[in-house]
Amino acid sequence: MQCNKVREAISLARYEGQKIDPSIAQHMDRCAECRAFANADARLDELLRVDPPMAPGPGFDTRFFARLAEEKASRQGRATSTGHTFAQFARQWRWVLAGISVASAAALILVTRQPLEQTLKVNELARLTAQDMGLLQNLELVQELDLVRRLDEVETFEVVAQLEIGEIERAGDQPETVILTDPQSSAGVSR
Amino acid sequence: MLAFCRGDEEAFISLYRRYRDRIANHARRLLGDQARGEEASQEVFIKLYQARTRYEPRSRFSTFVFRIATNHCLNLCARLDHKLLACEPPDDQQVVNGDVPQDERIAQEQLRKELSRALATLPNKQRAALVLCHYEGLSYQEAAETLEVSESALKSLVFRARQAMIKQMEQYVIPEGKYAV
Repeated sequence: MQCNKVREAISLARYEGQKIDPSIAQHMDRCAECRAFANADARLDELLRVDPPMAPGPGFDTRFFARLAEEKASRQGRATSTGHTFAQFARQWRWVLAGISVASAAALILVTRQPLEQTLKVNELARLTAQDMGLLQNLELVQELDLVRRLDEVETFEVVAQLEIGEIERAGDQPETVILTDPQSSAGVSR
Repeated sequence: MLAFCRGDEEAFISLYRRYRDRIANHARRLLGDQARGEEASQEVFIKLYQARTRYEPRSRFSTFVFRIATNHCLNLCARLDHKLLACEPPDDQQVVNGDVPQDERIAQEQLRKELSRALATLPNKQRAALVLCHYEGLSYQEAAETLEVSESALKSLVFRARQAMIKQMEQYVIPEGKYAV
């Protein structure tokens, strides 16, 4: 029997607590090197016991529970990513959306009103002043604004509902805001 | 684990406390370093936490958790390019088996360093097989399931690991003469 197979059988049998085969025992009687291996293998078992289990270092639990909390927060973040994405979009575009919302509100008022020439009687048209004409021109300009035409495409009122009150108010102070006003009026239409 | 899969977070904490030391020691022996072992063992428990949606009780839970731990550590070993450090236990490291005389403790620590160095020289799978069988007390069948190899392959891994360890620890295991390995 080959020494390598004998040594493997001896080593495995010791680990499993099994008796060795008689043929292996006979080989051991004749082979000094295999006997030496058997003794070394048994000695190795003793040495391996010198490395007993050790407790983790200080702070191990603290570090782990902190990582676990991060993992839980990350899982919750992924679960609500859709809502967060919408909120982020609203915050990034709040200035533009605020302006659109104000313009859309003004335009809504304008488009629901009857055209002036339809409500004004013919004899009243002649009494229109230059200032009135200026206002009419501004109204036409507002109606021509591209954003006004695209009102149906923009869900501004729903977006506005998501914005904080302060954000809408602050939008009015932005330098990018363009005010179209009637010289005689303090109210304005902004875009 | 099944309770945890049903949403019982306290069940996960119980699992953590039950397996913390075993997984930490297992990772330490596989990686050859206390700090790396602790880091890796925490990552194992995070993976265990993440696994609750896909856990199926097809084997013993210990087999499952040691499979996660072993695979994770072996992947780390591969990334380290087998450059494992010999375990250098810190001065305040606590030994679970109780107090021993100081002379004996010094000798034991020296021996532990030698053992750690010898383990680090083993190929990854041999080291994993030896650690699972000898230190974690798994049977050949359980260790084979953990490493996802056949039982005969596992036995071969263990034997070759022991042969290599005997050669590395020659001065400790062969007091008289030598034999051909």
